[in-house]
Amino acid sequence: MTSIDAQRIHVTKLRWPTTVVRRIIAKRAFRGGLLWGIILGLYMLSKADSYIKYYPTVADRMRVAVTLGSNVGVEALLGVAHRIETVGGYATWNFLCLVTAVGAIWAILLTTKNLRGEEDNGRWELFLAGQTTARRATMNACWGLMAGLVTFFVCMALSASVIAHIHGAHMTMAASLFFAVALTCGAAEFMAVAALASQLMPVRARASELAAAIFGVFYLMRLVADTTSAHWLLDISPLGWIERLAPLYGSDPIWLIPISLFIAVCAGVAIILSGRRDLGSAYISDKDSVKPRTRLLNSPLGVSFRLTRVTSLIWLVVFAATAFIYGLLAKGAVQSFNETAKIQKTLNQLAGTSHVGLTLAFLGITFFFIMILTMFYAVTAIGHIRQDEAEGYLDNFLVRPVGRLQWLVARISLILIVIVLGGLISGIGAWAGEALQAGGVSLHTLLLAGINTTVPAFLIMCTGVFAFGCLPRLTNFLSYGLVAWSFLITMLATGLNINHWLLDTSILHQITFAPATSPNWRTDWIMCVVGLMLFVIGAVVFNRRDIETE
Amino acid sequence: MDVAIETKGLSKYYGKTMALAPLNLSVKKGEILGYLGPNGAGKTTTIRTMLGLIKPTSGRAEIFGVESQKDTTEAHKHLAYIPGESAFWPNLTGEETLHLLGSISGQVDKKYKEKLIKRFQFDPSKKVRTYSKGNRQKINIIAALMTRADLLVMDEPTAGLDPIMEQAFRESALEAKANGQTIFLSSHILEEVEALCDRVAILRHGRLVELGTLEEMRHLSALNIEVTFTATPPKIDHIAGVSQVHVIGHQLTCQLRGPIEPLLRVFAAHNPQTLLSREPSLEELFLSLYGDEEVRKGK
Ligand SMILES: Nc1ncnc2c1ncn2[C@@H]1O[C@H](COP(=O)(O)OP(=O)(O)OP(=O)(O)O)[C@@H](O)[C@H]1O
Ligand SMILES: [Mg+2]
Repeated sequence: MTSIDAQRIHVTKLRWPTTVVRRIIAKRAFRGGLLWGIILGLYMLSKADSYIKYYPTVADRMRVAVTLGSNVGVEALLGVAHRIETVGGYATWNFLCLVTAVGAIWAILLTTKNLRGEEDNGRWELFLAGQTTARRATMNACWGLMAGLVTFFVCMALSASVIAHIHGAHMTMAASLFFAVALTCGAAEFMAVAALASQLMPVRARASELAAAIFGVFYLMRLVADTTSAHWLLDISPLGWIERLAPLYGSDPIWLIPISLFIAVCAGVAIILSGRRDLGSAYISDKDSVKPRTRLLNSPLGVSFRLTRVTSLIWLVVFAATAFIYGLLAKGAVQSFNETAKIQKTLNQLAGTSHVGLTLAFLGITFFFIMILTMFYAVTAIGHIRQDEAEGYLDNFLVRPVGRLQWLVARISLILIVIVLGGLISGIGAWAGEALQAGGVSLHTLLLAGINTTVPAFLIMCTGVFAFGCLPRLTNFLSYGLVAWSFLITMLATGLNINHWLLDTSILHQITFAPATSPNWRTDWIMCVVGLMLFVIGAVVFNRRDIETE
Repeated sequence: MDVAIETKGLSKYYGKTMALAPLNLSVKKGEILGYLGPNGAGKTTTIRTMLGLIKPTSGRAEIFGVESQKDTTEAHKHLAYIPGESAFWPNLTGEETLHLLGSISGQVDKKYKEKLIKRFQFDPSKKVRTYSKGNRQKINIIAALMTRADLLVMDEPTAGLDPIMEQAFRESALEAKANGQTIFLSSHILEEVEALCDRVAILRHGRLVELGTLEEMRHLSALNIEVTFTATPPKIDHIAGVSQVHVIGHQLTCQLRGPIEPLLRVFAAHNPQTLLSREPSLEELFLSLYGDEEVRKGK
C-alpha cells in the first residue's frame, strides 16, 4: 500500500483569493474617483481662473465680498464666506461645499452598490464562498473603496496645486494640499456612513436612502448654523467640521481629528456588524411580506411606471429645487458682478452671445447646469434599461407575448415624460425663485428656457437607445462618455480657444443658453430629428439582435 | 396539425464557435420530449433561439406553425417557458410577480394557480428578495403551468428544488401531458427524463447525436451482464459483441451488444451460480455516449 503522494497533488497557491474583493472594488472605485476627480478638478480650475481674471484688484473682490457675503440665500447654500477677497477664501467658499456634496453622493452610490447591491444580486455570496469571512470581505471592500478616495484626492491635489500656481493666486503648496484633504473629507465621511447603512438596511436602495437622509440632516445642521446664531451646530455636524477646517483662509487642521474618528467609528462598526449578521439579512428590515398591490402590474408600461416612479419623482424634485434656488440667488449674485464687459465675454465664449441683462445671463448659466442634470438623468435611465436586459428582467417579458418594441417604447416614453416635465418644472421653479426676489423675468421666458434644456437630454437619450441597440454592452460607457465629453469641451472652451470642429462634437455647444439668448428653435428641431433617427435605428437593431445577458 | 415544434436547419454560431449545428427536430403535439446533453452542448441556445431571444444564424423554428422569429408575440401566445433561473424584481412580492407574469401571458387558470401554490407549498406573500433559490424557481414553474399553455418549454426546471418539490413537479408535468399539453424538457436529471419523457434527443457539441424513444435507444445500446461462478470465470473476450469484461474473484461483469446465445453457451459450460442481466438506465446510455467522446479525446 502506498499513501497518497503529497508531491503529486500540486495545488498552486494563489495570492488573490483573499484580496479578490479588494481588487475588484478598487478597480471600480478608481474609475469613479478618476471621473469625478477630473470633472470637479477642471471645474475648479476654470472657476478660479475666471475669478482672478474678472476680479483682478482687491477693490473688485471686496465688492463681491460685500454683496455675496451678505446674501443669506447664498450662505445657506454654500456656507459663510470668509475672506473671499482672496483666491483661497473664494475657492474654499465656492468649492468646498460643492465638492463635499458631489463627493458624498458619489461615495454613497459607490459604497452601497459594492457593499449592498452585490449582496442583493447574489455575487457577494460567491466572494464569501472563497477563502474569506463576511467581516474580512467587508474590510477588504473598505480597502478597495479607499483606492477611489485616493484617486479623488490626487485629482483634487493636482487641481489645487495648479490653482496655487496661477498668477496672482498667492497660495502655498502646503495650503493647497490641505485644501485637497478637506475636499476629500466629504467623500470619505459618507463612504463610511454608507458602509454602515449597507449593514443596517435590507436592500441597496434603502441603504442609499438612509445614507442620503443622514447627509441631509448634517447639511441642514450646517445650514442652520451658518444662517442663524446657532453656530454650535457646526461643531456637531460632520459636514460642519469640514467647514471648520477652513483650509485656505484659517487652516484649522485640529478638526481632522473628529472627522477621522467619525470615519473610523462608522467603518469599524460597519465591519463588525457585517461579521455578525447573516448573509442577506439586515438590522433594520422593512416588512418582508406586504399586501399585494397589483393595480399597475399588467403591462410593461405599468410595471415600468411602478418600478421607476420613486426615482423619477426624486429627479423632478432635484430639477425643481435647483432651479428654485438659483432663481432665488439670481438677483443677489448679479448685483455683485462688477465688470459687465468681462462677464459678457465669458457668456460670449460659452454661448456665443453678448448684450443681455446680467440676470438673464446668470439664469442662462443656471439652465446650463440644469441641462447637464437632465442629461445625467437621461443617461442613468438608459443605463437602467440596459441593466434590465443584462440582469435578465427583460426575459420575463420577452418569453411571453410581449414585443421587444412594445417594451422599449414603454420604457422610453416614461423617460421622455420625466425629461419634459423636468424642463417645465425647472422653468416654473426658476420663475418662482426669481419672482420672490422681484426679479422681473417672465414665466414665459423661463418656461421656454426650461423646454430648451430638454432638447440635449432628448438627444442623449436617443443616442443611448442607439448604443443600446447596436452596442448594448457599451451603452453606459458611450452615453456617460458623451455627456462628460460635452461638458468638458464646453467648460474648457470658456478658457481656451478650441478648434470649432472639436467644439461641434459637444452636444451642449449646439444649444443656446436660454434665457440669456432666445432658444434657437431651428437647432433644437435639427437635434430632435437627429435624435429621432438615432432612436429609430437603435430600436430597429434592438428588435433584431440577440438579447445579451451577463 | 399534429406538430408543436418544428425546427428547420436551425443553427447558431457565435463568431466562429458553433453553439448549435443546423438542427432538424420536430416535437409532436402531446408528447414529452427530453432534451439532453453535457454542459455547453447547446441546449439553452436551442431554446433561446426557438423563443426568439437570440437570432439564429440560419434556419427557423415554428411553434404550432407560427414562425417564432418573424411573429414572435403570436408564437408566444401558445407557449410558456420555465427557465432554470430567473431575475425577478426583488421588491415585488411573490403574489405580485405571479399576477404580473400572468397578465402579460394573457391567460391564467386561477383555480389551477391556487392548486399549484398549495402543491408547491409556496408562500406568495413575501418579497421576492427573501425567497431562496428553490422558492424563486417555484415562481417560474407556477407562472408557466398556471397559463395552461399548449406548449411548455423547460430548461432545467427543477434546478434548486428539493426531492419532494421535484416529485410535485413530475406530477404536474404528467398532469399537463394528460391534459394534452406538449412539453419540451431540457434537463440534467436523467431519472426525471426517464420517468417523464416519451422520446429523448441527445445533443453533443451542438449536434443532435441521438433521437428516439428510450426503448429504441436501449436496443441500440449494450446489455449489462453480471454472473457468478463456482470457480474462475471463463474467458469470453473472443465472443462477438462482448466488451468491458471485468473479473473480480469468481464474479464476471460485461456488456453485450447483439445476440446473447453464444455467450450463454459458454457460461452454461462453466457452472454459473447466478446471472443478472439488466437494460442500461438512461444514465448509463448517456455516460456511454459521453464516455466515447472522452476516449476519443484521449487518443
Ligand atoms: N453569448 C455567447 N457568446 C459566445 N458563446 C456562447 C454564448 N452563449 C453560449 N455560448 C456557447 O454556446 C455553447 C452552448 O451553450 P448553451 O448555454 O446552449 O449550453 P447548454 O447545453 O445549455 O449547457 P448547460 O447544460 O451548462 O446549461 C457553449 O459552448 C457556450 O460557451
Ligand atoms: Mg443551459
